[in-house]
Amino acid sequence: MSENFGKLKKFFKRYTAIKCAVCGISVGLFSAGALLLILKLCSAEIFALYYALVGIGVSAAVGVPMYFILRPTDRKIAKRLDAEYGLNEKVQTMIAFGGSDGEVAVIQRETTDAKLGAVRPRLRFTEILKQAVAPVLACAMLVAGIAVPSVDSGAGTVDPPYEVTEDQFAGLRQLIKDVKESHMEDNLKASVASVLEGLLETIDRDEDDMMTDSEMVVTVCTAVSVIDGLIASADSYIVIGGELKKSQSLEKIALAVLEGVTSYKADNTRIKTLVRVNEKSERADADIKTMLTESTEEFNKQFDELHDDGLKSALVSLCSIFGELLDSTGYAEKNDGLYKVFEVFLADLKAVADNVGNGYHTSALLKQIANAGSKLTNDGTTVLGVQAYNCMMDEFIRECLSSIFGISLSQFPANSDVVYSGSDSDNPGGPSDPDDDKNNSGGAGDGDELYGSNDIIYSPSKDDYVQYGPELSDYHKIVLDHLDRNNVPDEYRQFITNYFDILYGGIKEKKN
Amino acid sequence: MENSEKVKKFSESISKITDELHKDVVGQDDIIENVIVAIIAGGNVLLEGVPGVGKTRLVRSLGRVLRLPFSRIQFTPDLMPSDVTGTNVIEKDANGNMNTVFRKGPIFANLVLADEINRATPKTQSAMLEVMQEHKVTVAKQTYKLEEPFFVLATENPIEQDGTYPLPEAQMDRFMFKLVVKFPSVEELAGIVNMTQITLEETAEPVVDGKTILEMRELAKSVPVLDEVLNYAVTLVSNTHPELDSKVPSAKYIKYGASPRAAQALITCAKVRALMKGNYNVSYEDINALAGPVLRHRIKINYNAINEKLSVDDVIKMLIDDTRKPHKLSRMFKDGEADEASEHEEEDEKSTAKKEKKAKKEKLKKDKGENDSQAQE
Repeated sequence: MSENFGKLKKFFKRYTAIKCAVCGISVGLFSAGALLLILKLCSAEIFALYYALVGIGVSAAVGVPMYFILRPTDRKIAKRLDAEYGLNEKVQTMIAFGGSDGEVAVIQRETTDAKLGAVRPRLRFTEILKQAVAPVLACAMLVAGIAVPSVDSGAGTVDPPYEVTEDQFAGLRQLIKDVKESHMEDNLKASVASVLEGLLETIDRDEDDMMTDSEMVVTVCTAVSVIDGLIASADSYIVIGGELKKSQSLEKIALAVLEGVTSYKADNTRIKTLVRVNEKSERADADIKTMLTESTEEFNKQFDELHDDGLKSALVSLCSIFGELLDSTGYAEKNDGLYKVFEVFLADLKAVADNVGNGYHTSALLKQIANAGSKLTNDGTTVLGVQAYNCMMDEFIRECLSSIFGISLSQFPANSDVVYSGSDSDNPGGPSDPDDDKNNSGGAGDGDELYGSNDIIYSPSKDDYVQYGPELSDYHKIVLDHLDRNNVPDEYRQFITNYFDILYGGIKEKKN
Repeated sequence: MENSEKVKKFSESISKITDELHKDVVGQDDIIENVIVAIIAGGNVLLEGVPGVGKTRLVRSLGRVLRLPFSRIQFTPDLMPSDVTGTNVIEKDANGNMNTVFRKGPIFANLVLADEINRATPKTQSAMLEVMQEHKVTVAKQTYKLEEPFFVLATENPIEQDGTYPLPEAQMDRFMFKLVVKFPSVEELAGIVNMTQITLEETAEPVVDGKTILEMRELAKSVPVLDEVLNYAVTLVSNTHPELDSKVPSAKYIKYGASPRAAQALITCAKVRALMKGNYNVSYEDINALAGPVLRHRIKINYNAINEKLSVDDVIKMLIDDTRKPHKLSRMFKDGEADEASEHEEEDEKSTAKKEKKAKKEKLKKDKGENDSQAQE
């Protein structure tokens, strides 16, 4: 190959490599910038390194094959030189006949090579301009991707009016009817129905006074939250079970209480009809009985090897701890069914302890303990069955409201947040000590200490979105005022009081 | 002889021939160049032009310059084939015996001027067929080889059609070129008038001989041709055939296309032309420049062209453009440089045309100056 042609070939190869690299990098930058922009507009995010990986990957995927396609062969270079320098196919002929020994071919090669020696390869301005387009576009896309702010999925979105349909009214009425026909305890049933009726009144508005989408969601969520609170205040299994779990001797029974009530969830099916609630309730009763039976049998075993003083000592010690734990549940004055069942169980155990050394044989004493356990099982099954039913009704009501208003279950407040927010590891699930400052959520107090979450809710009175904490405080004052004026029926007063007790852990005095 | 010396000798010979011819012929640079190309390529030339433009003078001067035995045949309607080829005659020898002797006709020369060839009858014209193609004469079953190099330069007058016999296609195909000798420009005419005031005799001197012509021919054969250029020439000829699949838009103006001899002539002559121009390879420019002379007598235009007032040269130009366009496209998809190439080709052609025009003017001025000085003397 002629020397001069070789030099020109190197130049073109280098130029092609640079061109492909620039193009590849430009495409890579463009892709990364486009990805960034798209994700920002969709309010999504990925790890920053991924953008770099995408850019590098695309650059390589474009640049490398491009070089292999565009890499200049001798023929291509010859054609380009002939075209650019008006050589009339001299270079192409030189390459094509490079091995020929013909008379004229040899001279042709020599003269062409001499001409190539005078050629100074240059890049035309238009060509440089063309090559610059891709990097400029790529940089523009990348800058756009970085500069454009993320679109807030909620910000600036249109909040259209929510038109409640006749089907939705009918659905809500049917739900109220189902609640009234349920087997919940009368007071609780009435309270829940009252909340749902209140919701029905609230959503029944004129055309020019319609709620927006977001207001509707807030209203329904509030109703759900109140219903959750009412039902939670009627169920004591979490608090009592949680306390009893602290004792090793009573742990199994406590777990039977806690898991028994929620055993209906084991089949992972949703409760969408009242019929389903009743079906599950029957199965739950059986499960609760089984679990309580097994746990009391386990409980009894701890006394099997004991007799006389040892037995008495164990019973006395157990009863002492048992009594303290029961007291700490806070249900002593509340006429709670489950509390009473355990109170009777405690009394029975104390009676057995008193009988030790009074002429009773050990086996008889153990039999008494077993009988106490059976009684606990039978009575506990009834009470826990009711509480399990309440839980299922709560789920059923949530499912119905979700279905009627098209609000996903995940938008509703979680059950545990409503009832037991603010509980720490020492008080798992129990109502907070009124003097316990660690209870700093689930409610709000004005003054220096803010109780409760800072979630934003809609305030009908202020016709604005406000923080939940201060709003709850105002609401509580209004409620207390109505309670004082005897504007609330007696049967609802307890529920309302319980509700706020759970939220606050007692009413805090305002600190001035 | 070294290659470079051969090439040098070739260039010098061409210069000498051209210079000498210009002593007797004013202007007509293209004609002179093409005639030289055809002679070196070994082909016959048909010169068409109105009377008095220098067709015969050119051929006669050529005969002097090439130092080749020259004969002129004036074709008339009563010319017989034997008048051209020669015939057997009965002669008495010294002993008084009657013997048959072949008397060679005027065709037995190296350079034959067939003047007004279209005046002869088809029978006489056909006598030229074997001679022009195979360079041999067959009379009474006896074949006589003609001495190389052998050329036929024929002339015809496009004006007088009465009493003429258009050359048959077969014979037209035997002419490598058909050159149209145009009426000289004002400057050229002035030059002619001035020159002929001095003398009407041809003053060109012999500068080469037949052997040199043959050597030049051999050298030209070794000029390399790129495959793409070869394909281009072949495609150009193929596109003159409207019945083929690859017909181009301009083929609608053609009734009959060119024979394969056209492709052979294109390449052979392009090699010579390239060497004459100082290039050592055939280029597209060479093919395009020779397309007219090679094709104009080989293709027949149809009524579509006549209706649109298109001449055969116009159709050939369109053919070149149509053949170059797909060529451009194929290059674009392969190399991406087609636009640049075509731009350069067009620029090249423009600059070449300008240079040639300038050279013509200067030459005329020079000739005029010489004639003036001669006249003064």
